Amino acid sequence: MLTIDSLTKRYGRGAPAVDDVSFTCAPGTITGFLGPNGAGKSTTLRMLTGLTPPTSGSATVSGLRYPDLPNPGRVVGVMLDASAQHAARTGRETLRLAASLVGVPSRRADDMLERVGLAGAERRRVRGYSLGMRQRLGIATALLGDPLALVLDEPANGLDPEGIRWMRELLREFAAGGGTVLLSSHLLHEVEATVDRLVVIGAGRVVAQGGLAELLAGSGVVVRATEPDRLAGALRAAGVPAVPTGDGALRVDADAETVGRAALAAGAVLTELRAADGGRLEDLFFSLTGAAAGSAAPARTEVAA
Amino acid sequence: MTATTPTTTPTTGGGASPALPDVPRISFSRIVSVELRKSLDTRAGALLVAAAVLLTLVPVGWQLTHLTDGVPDFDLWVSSARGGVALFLPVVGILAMTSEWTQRTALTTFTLVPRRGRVLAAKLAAAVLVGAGVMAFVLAVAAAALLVASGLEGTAPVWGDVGSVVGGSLVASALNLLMGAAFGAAIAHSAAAITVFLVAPALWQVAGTALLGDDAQWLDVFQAFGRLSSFELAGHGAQVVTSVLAWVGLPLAFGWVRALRRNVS
Repeated sequence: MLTIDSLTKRYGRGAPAVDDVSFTCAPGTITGFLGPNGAGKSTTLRMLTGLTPPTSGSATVSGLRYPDLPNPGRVVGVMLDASAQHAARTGRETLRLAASLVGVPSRRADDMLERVGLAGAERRRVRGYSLGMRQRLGIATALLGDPLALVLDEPANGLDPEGIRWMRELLREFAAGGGTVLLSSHLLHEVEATVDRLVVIGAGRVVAQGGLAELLAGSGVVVRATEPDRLAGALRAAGVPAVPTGDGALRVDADAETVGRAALAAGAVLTELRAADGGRLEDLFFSLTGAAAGSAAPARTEVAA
Repeated sequence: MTATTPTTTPTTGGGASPALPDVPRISFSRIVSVELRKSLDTRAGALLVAAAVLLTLVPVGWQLTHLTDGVPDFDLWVSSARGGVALFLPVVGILAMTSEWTQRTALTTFTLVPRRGRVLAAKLAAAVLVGAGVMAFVLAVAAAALLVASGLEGTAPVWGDVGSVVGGSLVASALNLLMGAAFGAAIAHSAAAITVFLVAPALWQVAGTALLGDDAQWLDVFQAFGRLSSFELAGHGAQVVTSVLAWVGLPLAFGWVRALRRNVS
């Protein structure tokens, strides 16, 4: 549905803002586009939606460049910046204008206001909306043309936990109906519970992409032993690097069986052996993007989706 | 817009892509009607319309109640009715081209209509329609005032050369509005564009004469507008064309091209 192919954007002579980015989003899936601020997420989404011309590469929607879609709002619902709304218009007028532009009845605008929970605030001017309410209005605008795909830049920004859960359910429902979702975020915990696939970008380059489960599996296990030093030595001998977590446990980039066998061979008594959890995606995120920011040619982690 | 060739063949690797909905291209008239609505649906838009009505009615009302020198001809009623509006119409043109950038709604608009040239053309068309509406009101008020005044004084209304009065005022209004739109396009910031529009031509009128002497009329836009709206082009065609190109064509083209390429934020 959405195909990003070797997309590159270079401003001036400096390092490219987006460097040879490729990924695809299939119908029925939610893809999280993850990276720290300034990593190139927004620039990529702007090239996808025809707002910024790429230096090279292409972005297509079902094979067509976005600007070549006859009525893009009926194919791709886009929200790139929730605060880019006319402050003096009411929520309802904002939606009705968009409805008449994409050619859906104004009844649909009212339905969408209800869908995003703004029916009570529809007569208020956008000036008086909180950021969370503007996000909801932006989502309503994106949904207006009953599109096949959604492209959302930082949709969770400004939403409270209840709002984030609401958004998650809305996107899951949209994907369950065969829709394609691409959303960007720098908030890891928000993305982890929502997306099926991840594309992680750092310093303009894709540093990891794949299914959520596969990417998480790559982040290793946490292991504890009665004698941590003996275990660490055994792991070193087995050629598996281990990193102390600071609370007596070791973080190992290997699967549980490898660690168990190493411990058995050394006669180390394990007190805990489990998949790294909690901050695992966070660790992945920071290790990947940190490496990308620190070196000119970051290693890429490719996981088959 | 034509720098890249559109890809019409589906690329591989996109996974199973559902068929695109069979929806026709957004028509130009629909974009114009949305732009028209956008120019009127805010408090500022309503205020501008109210201002136009007041600027028309107040001077005409004053004239109606001070008929000391008899009943003026139609052309005088028209000039008092459109005196204030003449200041207002350029603002309509300016705001048509700037508000999208000032209010940051360009992002939404250009996402829904990625061919920016169509949006810009629609904005210009919508501004011209607003101007036409305002001028229809102005001319109707002038005609009504003439009839009322003649009735009050018991004289026959003097219409004069209605064709050239109406035509001339329409041409003058359209030119002023387009010049405003051109400044709005070039400057893309409401307050700055209005200021420059009010100051720059007046400054040039003084500076130009001092610097160029008689040659300044090659760039005197007000003289050019005056000649165009009074249909007196004989012997001055080239000067009128250069003035209009310099003050309307150039800023409009500059602003247009920039808006097509500009990074929308």
